[in-house]
Amino acid sequence: MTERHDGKKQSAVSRRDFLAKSAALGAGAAAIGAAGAADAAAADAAPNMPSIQRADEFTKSLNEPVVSYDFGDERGLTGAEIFARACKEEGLAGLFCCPGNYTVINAISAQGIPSYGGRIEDIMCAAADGFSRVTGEVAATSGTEGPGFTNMIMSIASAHRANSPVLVRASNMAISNEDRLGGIQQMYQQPTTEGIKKYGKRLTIPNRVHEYAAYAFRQLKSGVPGPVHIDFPSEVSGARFKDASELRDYYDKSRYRSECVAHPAPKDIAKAVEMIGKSERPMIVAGHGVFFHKGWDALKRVAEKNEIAVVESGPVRGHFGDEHRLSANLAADALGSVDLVIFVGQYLMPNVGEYRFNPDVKAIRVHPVAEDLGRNWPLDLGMVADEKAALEALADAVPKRQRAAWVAELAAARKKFEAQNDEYYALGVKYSQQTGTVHPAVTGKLMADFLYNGKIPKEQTTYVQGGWTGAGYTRRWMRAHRPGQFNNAPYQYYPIGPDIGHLLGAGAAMQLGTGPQKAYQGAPVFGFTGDAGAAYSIMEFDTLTKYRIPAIMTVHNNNAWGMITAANTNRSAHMYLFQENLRYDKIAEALGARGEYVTTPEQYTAALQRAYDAAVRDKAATLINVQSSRQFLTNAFPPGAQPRNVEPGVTAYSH
Amino acid sequence: MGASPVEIVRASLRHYAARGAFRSFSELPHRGGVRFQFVWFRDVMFHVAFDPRTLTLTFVNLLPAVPARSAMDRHFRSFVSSRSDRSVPEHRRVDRKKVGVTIVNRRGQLSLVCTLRPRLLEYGVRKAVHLVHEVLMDFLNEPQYVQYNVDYFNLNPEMA
Repeated sequence: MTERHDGKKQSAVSRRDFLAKSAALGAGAAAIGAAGAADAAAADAAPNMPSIQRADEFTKSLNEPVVSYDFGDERGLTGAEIFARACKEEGLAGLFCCPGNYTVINAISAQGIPSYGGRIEDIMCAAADGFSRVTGEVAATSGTEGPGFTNMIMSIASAHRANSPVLVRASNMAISNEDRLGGIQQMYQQPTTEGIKKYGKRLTIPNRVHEYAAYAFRQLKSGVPGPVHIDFPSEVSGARFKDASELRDYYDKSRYRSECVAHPAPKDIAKAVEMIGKSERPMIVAGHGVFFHKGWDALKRVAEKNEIAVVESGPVRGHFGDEHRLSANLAADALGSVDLVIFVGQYLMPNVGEYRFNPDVKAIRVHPVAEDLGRNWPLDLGMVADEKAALEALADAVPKRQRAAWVAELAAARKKFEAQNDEYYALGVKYSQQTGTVHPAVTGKLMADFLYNGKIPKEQTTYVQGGWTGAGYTRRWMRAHRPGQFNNAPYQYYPIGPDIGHLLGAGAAMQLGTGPQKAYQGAPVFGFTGDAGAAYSIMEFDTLTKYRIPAIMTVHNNNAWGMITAANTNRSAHMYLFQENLRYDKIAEALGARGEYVTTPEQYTAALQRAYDAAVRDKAATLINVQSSRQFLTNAFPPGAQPRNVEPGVTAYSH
Repeated sequence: MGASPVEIVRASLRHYAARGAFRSFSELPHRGGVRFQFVWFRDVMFHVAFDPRTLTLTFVNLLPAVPARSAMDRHFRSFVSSRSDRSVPEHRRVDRKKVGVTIVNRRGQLSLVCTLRPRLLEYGVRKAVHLVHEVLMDFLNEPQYVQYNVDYFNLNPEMA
C-alpha cells in the first residue's frame, strides 16, 4: 500500500462530514467490533500469503459482556478483583498494558474499563501518560513483574516529570518465594521507582488491598498529580474474601478521600488584585494544573476582564488557546516586557533566567500545596489554592480594565513570530528543492495548513508533538485551539522514542471521547516524531491497527540521531548515523497499517490527505515517512539544528 | 546628604541579588572604584566595574572570544544599537539621552560600557542590567551561537 503520488488526487471523504459520521461510531474499545477495510486491503496486497488480520477471538473478546464484581456468592472476590473493583468505582479511564500481572489486568478489563493490550511495556506506559495528558483523567499501565516493569521505567519517569496521574501496576511475585530465587522475573519494584513517583507502596497484607487502592486514588486524584506505583504479590492478588467484613478499611470513596480543594485566602486575593492593578503588562503563565483542574473557563474570564495576557506552559496546551488576542503563546518578544507574572498550575518551576521574563518582573504563584511555593523562582506573593478556585476568585475580584498598549504589543510580537516562521518556511522550501528531500520547516507548515487552514475544523485534531531536531521547526507551526488538543510528548524529561505510545494514548482518548475530547470523538489524531524516536515505538502500529485507532504519524527521517551535531570528530560520527533512506513506512505496512514514503513537499500534502481519508473511511493508521536530510542540522543550511527557541510558549519543551 | 554614586549603584545591583536574579553577589575595591561579581545566566560569573569618577558601569569581558571586526562582533554592535530603536517598546528601549552605551573589544573580549547620568544612576543601572539580559536571552539565543553557548555559557551539549 505504499504510495508515491503527485498530490493531485481528490479526497474520497468529505472532511466536513466527518464529525457527524464519527459520532455514531460508539465509544470505547468494546465498540470496535467489525473488521475494517484494512484487513481486506492487506489480503489483496499479497494474495498468496496469509493476510494480516485480527483474530476472530480479538473482536469477539471486545464484544463480550462486562463482568460485575460483587460480594454475595460462595466464591467471594479475590484481591485482584477487589482492586479492580475499586478502579472501576473510581472511574479509571483506561488501561494500557502488556500481559503479565494477569489477575489484575484481567479483572480490570472484564469490568469494562477500556483496556488496550500492546507490544512494549514502556510504550504502553507512555500511552497511559499520553491518554492522561489529553483527558486529565487517571489511566493505568501494567506489565510483568520484573522485565516488563523495568521496561516501563523511562515512561514512568517521563510521566512523573509531566505530573501525569498514571497508576503503575505490575507484579504477581509471591512473598513465599522471596530470597529463594524460585521461578523467574523476581525483583523488588519500589526502590526502582524512587524519585519518579508521587506515591508508591508494596502491599503485602491481603486484607488491606482495598485500603491501598484507596491510598492510590487519594494520591492520584488530589493535589498535584503524579504517577502512583502499587505492587502486590500473588498472596494478595489471589487471596479470597467472602464478604467486606474480611477487609480492613473497606469504605466507599466518598469516605476515604475528599473532593475538597484549597481556596485562596481573601487577603491573598486582595494583594494579588492590588499587584495586578499596579501592573501595566501582567501575564498569567497557565500551567498544566489549569488543565488538570479544569480551570480554563475561569482563566478566560479573569484574562478578558482585566486584559491580562496568558501564556501556556507544561506538557499539554490548549486551555487558553493560541488564537486569543490575549494569548502570548506566539508572542515570544513580548515576554521580556512583562512586569507581573502570575504562575498558575506551573508544577515544574523554571529557574530565574530559564523563562524569558526580565529581571525586574514581580511574581505571584498559585499552587495547590504550600511546600513548593518559592522554589526556584523568588515570589512576591505565594498563594495556596486550587487553580480553578484561585482563577474564579481572581475573576470575581479584579476590576474591568483595558490595556490597549499591552494588547497591541502582544499583537506585534505575534506578527514578528509569524514573520520568522514564514522566513524559516521560505528557507525550507529552498533547501527542499536543493536536496530533493523535505526540510522540517516545510513539514510543519504543510501539516499546520492541512489541520488548521483547510477543510478540517481547526479544533478537531488532537496532536502529539514528538521528535527532537525536527520538532524545533514543527513545534513553531502546530497550534492548540481548545483544551487537551496539544500534547508536548517529550516534555521536560525528553525521552526520545515513546511518541507513538503518546499517539496511541491520544487516539484512545479520541476513540472513547474521554474528557474534553468528547466533542471530537472518533476524529483521527496526528503526531510528529523523528526516525530515532520511531524505532523505539513503531511496533505499536500493530496496536493502533488492531484497535482501529485512526492515527497518523509523520516521521521526520534524516538518517541520523538528531544530536549528530554533537559528533565533533569525524572518527565519532559513525555512532550517530543510521543507514540512509530507511523505510519505516514499510514496517508500518508489515504491521497491518498504511505506509507512505515522500520526498517532496507536494507528495507530503497528498499523503496527509490520503492518510486522513483512510483514517475516516477505514479507521486506518498511517505512518508517513518523510525523507529529510541530516545536512539541515548544519550551518550550511541556516538556521540549522536549533531555530530560535523561547520559553514559555509554543516553542517550549521544558517546564 | 544624599547617597554617593557608588552606594546607589551598589543598591541598584543588590536589588537583583535580592530578587534571586544574581547569586553569590560580592564586591571588591577596584582602581578607585568598585568591582562587583555575581553568578547569573547559566551559572556564569559576571564582573561589573563601576568608576565613580567617570560614572561608567562596565560589564567586563561580557562576551569572550569574539575577534574584532568578526561577524559576531558586528552583529553584537548592531543588536545593542537596535535596543535604542524607536521600534522597541518605550519601556524596553535604551534611551541614549539618559544612558550612554559603548562597546569595547579588547583582545577579543567584548565589554559593554554604560555611561550613567548623575541624576539618573538608578535608571542607568537598570537599563544596563536589562540590556545585558536581552543580550543573554535574545542575542545569544540566535541559532548560530549554539556552539558558542556550549563553549562559553555553560549550555549543556546534551541540550544543544
